[in-house]
Amino acid sequence: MSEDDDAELVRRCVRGDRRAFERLVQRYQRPVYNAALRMLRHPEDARDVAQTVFLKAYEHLAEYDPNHRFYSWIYRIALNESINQLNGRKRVSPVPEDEPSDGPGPEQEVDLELSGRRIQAALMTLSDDYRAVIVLRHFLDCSYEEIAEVLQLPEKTVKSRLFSARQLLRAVLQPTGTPRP
Amino acid sequence: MIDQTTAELINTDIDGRLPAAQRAELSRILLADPEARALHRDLQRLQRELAAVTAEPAPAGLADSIMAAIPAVASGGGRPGAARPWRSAVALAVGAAVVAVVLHVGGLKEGLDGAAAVGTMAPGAGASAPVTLDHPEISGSVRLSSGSGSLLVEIDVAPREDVEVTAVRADSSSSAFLRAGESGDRQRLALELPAGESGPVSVRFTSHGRIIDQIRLDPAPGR
Repeated sequence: MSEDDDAELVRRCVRGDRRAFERLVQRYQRPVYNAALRMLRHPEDARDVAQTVFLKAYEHLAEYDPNHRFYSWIYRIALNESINQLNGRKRVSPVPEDEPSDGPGPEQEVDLELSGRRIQAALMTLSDDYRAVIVLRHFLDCSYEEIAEVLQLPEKTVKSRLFSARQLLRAVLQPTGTPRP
Repeated sequence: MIDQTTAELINTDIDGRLPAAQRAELSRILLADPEARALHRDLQRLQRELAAVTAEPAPAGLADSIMAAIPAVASGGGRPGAARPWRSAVALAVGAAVVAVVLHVGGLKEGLDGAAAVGTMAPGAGASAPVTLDHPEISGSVRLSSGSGSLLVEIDVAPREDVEVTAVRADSSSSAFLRAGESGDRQRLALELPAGESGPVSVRFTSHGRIIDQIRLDPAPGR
């Protein structure tokens, strides 16, 4: 997708073109929803956050700085809204009861491809800051530079945070510490 | 113990951003250091596992519900950014008399008469008797009043969950998205419908895609 195209859509939108905003919603609803889903785990919460993100974006579109990429701006709103939701709810993510408590042995487990649910469970053990960099890098395919723009952090800090987050995920996903989804 | 430089080389390699010269350096380290080799192998596996998690499609109807909420947001000025906060988007105008028969429809509720509809707002001139909402997700009241050339659905509620409210009358509709308050904060707003339509007004409250309540408000004839 073209950044110029996004900028043009934003300009049209600010002039009152509702269709232009609809194009932006259609373009970014999926990554915004997925960012919220990975941050929050619960699809219903992620849907609510995605809706709020776009409403806030619309409300504050005139404040958007066109020198920055539109998606950086909207991803930042998505992460902030997700973190607000987490702070507000402190929702507990119970282990599903139908999940067997004894899984395959450690050797077998290392060989198994970890499912999305197990990865998600591991993600939820990270702090919001660490989870955010993993989400941006691995689920939204952002570069270091883009992550820095979204989080408004120096690139060096982004790298350091990303590397630490991976080390933590690695530790959590070790056979003895693999969280059950 | 893996030093900082090695950790950075490994992570940068995992991200596919390691220049060729540094890749040779990393290869030498990996050959010599089993701990670094284990970290590199584990992070490669982690990278594959994360890449295998497919992106979910956006929920059906998400874009539509966003766009449906936009008019309420923009009612202050019709343009993004120019809009006043939607929670106070429409002034609670009180106009000419509207006599409403308030009926609850949907769910298991029987119709409510005026006596049963005990509200929290003192009805102003021309406003109908309010009908109360009392659900875990939201509580408060709803009533009709008339504005200048329009019919207003006045909503005075404390949402404890995020709730979408949609008022429909004939071919017209208006909606707003209510964010859960920190401690059940009161929110007042009015949804505006054109007065020219006929028939009852249906006010639907949904949360997380589930209908919490649906209220029918019958404006007085001629409204």
